[in-house]
Amino acid sequence: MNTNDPRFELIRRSRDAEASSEELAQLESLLREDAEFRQFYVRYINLDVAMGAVAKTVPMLETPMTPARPRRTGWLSWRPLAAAAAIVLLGILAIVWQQRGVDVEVVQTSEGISGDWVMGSKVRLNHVTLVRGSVQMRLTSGVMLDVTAPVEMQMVDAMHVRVLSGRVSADVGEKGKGFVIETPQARVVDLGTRFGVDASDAAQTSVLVFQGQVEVYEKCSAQRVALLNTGEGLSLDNNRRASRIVSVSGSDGANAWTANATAMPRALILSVRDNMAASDEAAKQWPSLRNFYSIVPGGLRDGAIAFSDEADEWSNVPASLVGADQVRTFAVDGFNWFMKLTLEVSSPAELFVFVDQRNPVPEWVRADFTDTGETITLNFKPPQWHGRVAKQLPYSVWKRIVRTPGEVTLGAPYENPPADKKSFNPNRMFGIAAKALP
Amino acid sequence: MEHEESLRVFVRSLLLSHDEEREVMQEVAVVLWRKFDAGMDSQAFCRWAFGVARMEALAFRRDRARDRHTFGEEVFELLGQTVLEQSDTLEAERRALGTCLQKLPEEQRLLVQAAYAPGVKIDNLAAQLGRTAMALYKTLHRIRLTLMDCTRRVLASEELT
Repeated sequence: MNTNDPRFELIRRSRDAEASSEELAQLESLLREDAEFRQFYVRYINLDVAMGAVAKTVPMLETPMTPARPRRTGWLSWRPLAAAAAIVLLGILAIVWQQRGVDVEVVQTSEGISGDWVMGSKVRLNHVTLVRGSVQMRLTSGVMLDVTAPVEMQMVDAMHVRVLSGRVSADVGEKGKGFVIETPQARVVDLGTRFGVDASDAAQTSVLVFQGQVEVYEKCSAQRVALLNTGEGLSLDNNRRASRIVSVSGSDGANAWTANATAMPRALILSVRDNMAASDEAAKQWPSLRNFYSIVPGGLRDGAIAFSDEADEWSNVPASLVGADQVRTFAVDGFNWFMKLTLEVSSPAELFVFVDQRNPVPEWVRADFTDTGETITLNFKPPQWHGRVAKQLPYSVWKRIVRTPGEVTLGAPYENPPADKKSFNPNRMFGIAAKALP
Repeated sequence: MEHEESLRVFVRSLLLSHDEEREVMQEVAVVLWRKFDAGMDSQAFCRWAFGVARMEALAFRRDRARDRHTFGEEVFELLGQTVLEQSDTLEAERRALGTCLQKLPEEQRLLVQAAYAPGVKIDNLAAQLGRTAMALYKTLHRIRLTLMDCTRRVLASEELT
């Protein structure tokens, strides 16, 4: 079979959703009965998949393609700005305005930002330097950007931003899929998501996915480093080394997160780490682990997201725990019997773990914690299409007093691997919270 | 994820749709992590991962895309075997693709970039270029066939040297 074979047209029609049900049946018949055809089919699909990956790694188009007939572009209809290339100083905010720029709507500003930055106003930006404060802006692609000082960035177009330094979060809607953030080390391509990029450290870029999926590419070689899903993150340094970000502090909602534990000295829990670091045996067996723990100071309340990688929420939070510091573990860890967590506690605290009631309480919980007799509810929200149903799972609340600041080690949800995995009904991962000792 | 590209090709070969493949691959990754057995060697992991991908693709079609044609179990099995048996060749062809894309005429190379850019809809791109979607689909198909021939030639020449 060579590429002139008319059966390739059948593959194309099937791939491009043009095939009739008869043609699809014919394709299936060929795949079942003709080994050579099957090989060429797989080669065609392989090429199709690889073209998607390669096309995203090459530089953006510099030469516009020639349309078959001339048509007006958005650029032609833009009114020139009278003050092109003027530098406007707005108190603490310095922006270079240019005729070639990107239209944005100012959605929200922090206190102290004034001048033309009126909420709801439209401005055109090219190079942005934010010295202090924060700005939330919406691009014409629908992408919402949260920019927190200090930051320096270039607006390339409504689907492309270069972060030269600083921290930016993006909430990308349906229209904004494919939105790109470039940093000195990485090129992050969004696949429909909410994510954050931190290029504050000149030597590395941190990428965190709060919801959805992004692809991370090396800036220089344009090689894909990783496909990151909800609750996953990595740092990429100048030597092209990618490393897992183990814990993140702060709320992801308002670009207030940081991967730097010392940036939040008032948090009760400064950091979380586990025994899946690169040097550990477990990490060698699962090298692509990218999940991070989220520390959210004061974050526990009804409706608080429970895990960094799922949509599950806590409800029926006991009154005494509302406003406690929360650690979002990752739910995929619920099947784990070998992981150990280490919390770095900054000051004397009451430490709580929430344990799924459906299976026996792990021995380390019984040994180190006491049962408060209270419960908290996990609203389990599986992906809708996956055939699983939402349900409410009661968790028991266990407490331990930590009088001396330092490290506290927690165990895994199970002591041992289950003997019979097929009939095993797994827990969800446990939750963690902390309150300052009165 | 180990064997990620092979799994992706396998899932795409079952579903044919890029968007569906992406959704299923996300779920596959989660299941693999949740049920990963640290005692498995690479081959056992690979067999198991392909089994998970097959089940997730079936579940997706059952739950989310009932109106779409679904291949029978036998074809699922055969496609999995084919991808695994050819995995070295497929990987070599993916490596050769970069060279072959550079050999394309500029107009075709730019078209590939534009058509495969994230989030691009062929209908919209065709309208921008003043062409019909069907004409664009056919052009891209011809480019894929050209690239298939090219990658095979590149691999053949590597074997000779």
